[in-house]
Amino acid sequence: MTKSILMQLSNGVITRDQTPLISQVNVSLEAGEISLLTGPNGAGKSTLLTALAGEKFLASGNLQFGGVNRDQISLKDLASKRSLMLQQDEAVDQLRAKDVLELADISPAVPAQTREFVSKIVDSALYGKTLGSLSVGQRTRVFLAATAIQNSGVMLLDEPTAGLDSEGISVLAEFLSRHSSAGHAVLIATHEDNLRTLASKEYVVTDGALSLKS
Amino acid sequence: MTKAKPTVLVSLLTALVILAIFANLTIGAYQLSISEIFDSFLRPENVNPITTSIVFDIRIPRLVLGIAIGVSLAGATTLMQSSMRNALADPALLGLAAASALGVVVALVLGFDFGGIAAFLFALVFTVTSFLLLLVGHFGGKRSSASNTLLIGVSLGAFFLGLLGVLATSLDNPQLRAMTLWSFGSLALATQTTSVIALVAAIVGFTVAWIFAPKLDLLLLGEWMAKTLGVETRKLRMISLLLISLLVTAAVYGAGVIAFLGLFSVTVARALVGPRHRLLLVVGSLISVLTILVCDLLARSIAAPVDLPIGFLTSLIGAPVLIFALARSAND
Repeated sequence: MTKSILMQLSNGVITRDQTPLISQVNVSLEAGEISLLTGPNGAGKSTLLTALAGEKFLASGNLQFGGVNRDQISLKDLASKRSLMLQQDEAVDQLRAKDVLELADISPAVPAQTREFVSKIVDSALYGKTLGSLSVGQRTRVFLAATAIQNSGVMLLDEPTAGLDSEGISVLAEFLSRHSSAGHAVLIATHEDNLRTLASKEYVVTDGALSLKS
Repeated sequence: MTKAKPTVLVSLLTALVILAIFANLTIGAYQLSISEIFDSFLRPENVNPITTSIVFDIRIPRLVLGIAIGVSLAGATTLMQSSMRNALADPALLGLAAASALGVVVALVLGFDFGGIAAFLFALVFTVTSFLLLLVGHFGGKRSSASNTLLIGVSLGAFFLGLLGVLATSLDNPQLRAMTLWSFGSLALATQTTSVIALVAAIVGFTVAWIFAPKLDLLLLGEWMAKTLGVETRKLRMISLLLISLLVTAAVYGAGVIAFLGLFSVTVARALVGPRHRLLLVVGSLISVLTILVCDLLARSIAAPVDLPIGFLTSLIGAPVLIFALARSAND
């Protein structure tokens, strides 16, 4: 597969509550590539991920998906271009894991290995439980599975290992590496070192600027 | 929580609703047999004209209005709760029903007939306006919390009822009597016109809600996730707002403010089948229709021949349920 850029933000300025948070943001995510996003607490990593998803916080800059400007892509089509998992979901507690997975299953063709990951990370015991009854790690598992099943070109993950046990982390790591090899791009904001070995690039947010560490 | 099996639950509720329909048609100050009811439809020439008149002018309109109100209030409450992300939202509690009621009274003061289409349209406009005010308070404030919204809603409702009381003094006697009965919520004022208008509005509202239900489900994942999955959340909220207003109006315009019915049925339905909209709409509506028909039967028989306003009975059932739900949500 030839390398292609699935998502690109150039000269981005990220603001939150009218205050500039990060300027000079240049991010480019290629098919088959896993990138890390690191930086101290409160540096704006989650805000940056949200901005890259193309809905909020981007004051200026040129955001493109597969060479097409964000403005020219409908919200519906955007769903196949990127998925976003934030640390805190706002889902209603009465939904079951099953419901979340059914609702996120919008892609016409989810690859077998993604289905396999979903059934591993959300096992049959977890599948029928309501969100309100889950632990932090279990809830992370459900939303990781939901983000994966969306089957979009780019996966944006915010602290995806929060609360996960070592089995969960290795299942996730294995999936991410196979998923990216299959032509997807992944960007992971994290403080942990356990996914570092997968990544080929690292973006670092410090003092309101984004730099690239290869 | 173990969930009831949907097919069994829906069949059971449907059977109970059918039973309640026959009970409501036959039982009353003037007892009718089931064969007399069927004959009124199939062989009207064999039936006493008084019976036909009771069936078509009183029992059927009252039944149809009851069904329309049951469906409307369950639908409106379901949509309100999901769009405001508050499991305690209820059209009567949040002042929407009072706004509808005020709309009807304004129409009466301006000389329009009680139960006519003009009254319906006035009620609709007032409800939409009041809902917009409520949403400004809900999402526009610095901090939007469930209790703030509840307080705003209760205040709006009290304000509208106050205004309604002042305006009602300018009405003449027969209108005032209708108003009094109506402001407590009663099916006694049902006519062929009110029941048909309410039924059409209820069917339209329910159908559109059914169509949008899968998207509304996505909203349960949270605003953000719904957006990343491709839902135009703002557009969806506007549709939801219009639907809620239509359904509340359908419920209020014919029979007044029937408190707690929506909250009661949707709370029970949610506990039985979970938050997904299609099933919740169906089960909530069935419970709501069943409750209103049973309450109406009681309202007509407890103190017969006095016809109690049905709002009294629904409040007696609904208020404890609300307190129970509040206590439970406080424990979460």
